[in-house]
Amino acid sequence: MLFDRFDPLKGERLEIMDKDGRVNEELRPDLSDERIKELYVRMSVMRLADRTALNLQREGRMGTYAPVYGQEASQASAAFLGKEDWLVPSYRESGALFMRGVSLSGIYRYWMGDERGLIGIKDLRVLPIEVVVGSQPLHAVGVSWAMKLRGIKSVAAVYFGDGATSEGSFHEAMNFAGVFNTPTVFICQNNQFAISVPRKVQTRSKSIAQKANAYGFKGIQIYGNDIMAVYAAMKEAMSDAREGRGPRLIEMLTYRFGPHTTADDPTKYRDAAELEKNKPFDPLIRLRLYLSGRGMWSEEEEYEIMDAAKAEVEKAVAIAESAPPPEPSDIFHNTWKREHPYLKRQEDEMLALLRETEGGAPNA
Amino acid sequence: MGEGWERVMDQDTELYYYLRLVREFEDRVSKLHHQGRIPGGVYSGLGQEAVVVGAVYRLKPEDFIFPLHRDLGAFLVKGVDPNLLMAQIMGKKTGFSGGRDSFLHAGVLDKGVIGSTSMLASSLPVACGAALKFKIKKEPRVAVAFFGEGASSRGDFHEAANFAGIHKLPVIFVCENNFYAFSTPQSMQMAVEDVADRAAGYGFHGHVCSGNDLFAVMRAMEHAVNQARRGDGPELIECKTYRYSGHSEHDMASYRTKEELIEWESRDPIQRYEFFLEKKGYDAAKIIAETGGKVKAVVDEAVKFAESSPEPEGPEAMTEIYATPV
Repeated sequence: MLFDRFDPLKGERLEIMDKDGRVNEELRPDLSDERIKELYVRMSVMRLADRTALNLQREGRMGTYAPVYGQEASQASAAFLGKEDWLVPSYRESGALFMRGVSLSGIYRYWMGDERGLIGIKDLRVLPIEVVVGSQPLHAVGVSWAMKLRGIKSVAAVYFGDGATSEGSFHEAMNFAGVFNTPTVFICQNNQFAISVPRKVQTRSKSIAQKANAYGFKGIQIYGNDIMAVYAAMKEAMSDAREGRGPRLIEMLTYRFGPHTTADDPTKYRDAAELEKNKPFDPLIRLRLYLSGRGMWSEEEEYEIMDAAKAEVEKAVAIAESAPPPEPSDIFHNTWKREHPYLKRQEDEMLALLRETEGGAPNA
Repeated sequence: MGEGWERVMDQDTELYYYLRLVREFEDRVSKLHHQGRIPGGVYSGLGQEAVVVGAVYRLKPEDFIFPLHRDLGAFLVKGVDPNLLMAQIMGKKTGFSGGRDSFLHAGVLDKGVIGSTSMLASSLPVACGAALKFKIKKEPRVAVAFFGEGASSRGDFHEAANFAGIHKLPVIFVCENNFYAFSTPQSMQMAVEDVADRAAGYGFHGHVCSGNDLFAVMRAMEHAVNQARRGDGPELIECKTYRYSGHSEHDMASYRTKEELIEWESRDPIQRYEFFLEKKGYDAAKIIAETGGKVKAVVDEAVKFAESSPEPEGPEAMTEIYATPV
């Protein structure tokens, strides 16, 4: 059992495929080469889609965006959830949503300022994106507790960053999960920076994984750029949580190559040299090396993969941009199940104001 | 501490005096409350005397303590005038908050006692703030923050402990684990056996000791305080203890068994100390009788002072809240 074997308090962490694509055979999980190839292709689309979003924002075609560049393997953990499980994302989970099957065009539309882009995610058992740092673990514990009370074998997997672990809400969620033994998998993508705050001044504990000990359940630290480690840890954690063996915390060590969001300039707080030092650990490079060693990847094929990815992404951009703009009233909807009298009053007031002003709604 | 620690053994009777004073004071407050002579809520620390005495006794006057609602004894050991403390508890004009509030919702700044609010664990971040100031100003002072095991489930605790860890603050977190957060047993409060285990999540040490053993608490504090004064960061000390009363005077504590209470009463911190005095060859009976008389006189005097103090008139409720009156 990986969670017992790799003790974060002893400074141990799980790596199966190293940066050169070499696999520790003893730890190799039951992932077929075909599946690995498929994951590589999806992660490549993810990367292109991510870069496209950044470009769209720079061109003024998107409001703001939180890139996942560098964290693709960690984000791909969402592919290892069961259909009946819940995904609780923070704002940097475009890649995870994509792996879960949320449409790219929908994700784009959301970041373009149209919430309707993600309206269908409930059917995929994905919670709406919550931006407040550290709040997501509470929601995941609530969802998974509900599943437990209803006797449904469904796990809630929640995503947050290293910075979020300093929030009181993280503590309260972890504690509650421990006491009530909820089927929750806490996924911390430790990308080394909370905006500009480096990990070493975020907390004095050597790992984030070891924090699980304080709540009476198991944590593991893994290399989050290693898809095999991500798969192996996820598989064990999801199954432990599902079978009532307790919640689990997975710390995925990764590195954010890009800015915190499009409103951030990382050159102000991070050395170019540090970034370069981390580049060889790119989650896609090792996959390419691995697949190439198995005769399943070539330069020519890469062009094909990229062409297909480009077509998929361009199509998504076109769909997102051709969607009719949201109505001003939309900001009052999709929050409460029933109409809320105070919100209704505000909405009427706003609509009256828009009617009074020349030209009506700004987007009309 | 360092020098001075050796003196402890010469001060056996003083330590006993404080244990008894705290108990006498607590006991009287409960009785007065039952007689309707104290307004508001009363949260008895009966049974937990060794924690507050052990944690505060060796501190220096310039150190800060952050007692919670059950740490009345910490006020007394830190040198707060019993008369004024009783006046505070009775909500009198002569109390620290001038009658604006009662019980322990007040601090005594010149004694290094920072008052608490009813929000449990909310004083822990404040203690970190004080400790950060000590660190920045390079003052060899420490901040000692008290809290219960229930408070350790609160986000405030987590943020304070994490911050103290990163900045290696001279703060000591003293957890009085009395096994119940109001009626919630520890097993429903956390999935770990020791609150001290939580310290590993913040990169500092957590120590478990018997909160009913005065010397165990003092030894743990000696280590932690020395470390904090040297600039080597915080420590969490978990003192396992038990409150004889309910959460408050209006709580009958029907959620626990009589047997459990008896079990803990048989580990009484004061009786344990009396046994120590006897074993050490003192004339224990004499010390016990004399100290009993002494503390009774102190508390009698405090009650007399408080009861003859004037009540607040009302309008002063609006003053001394903001530095600049609104």
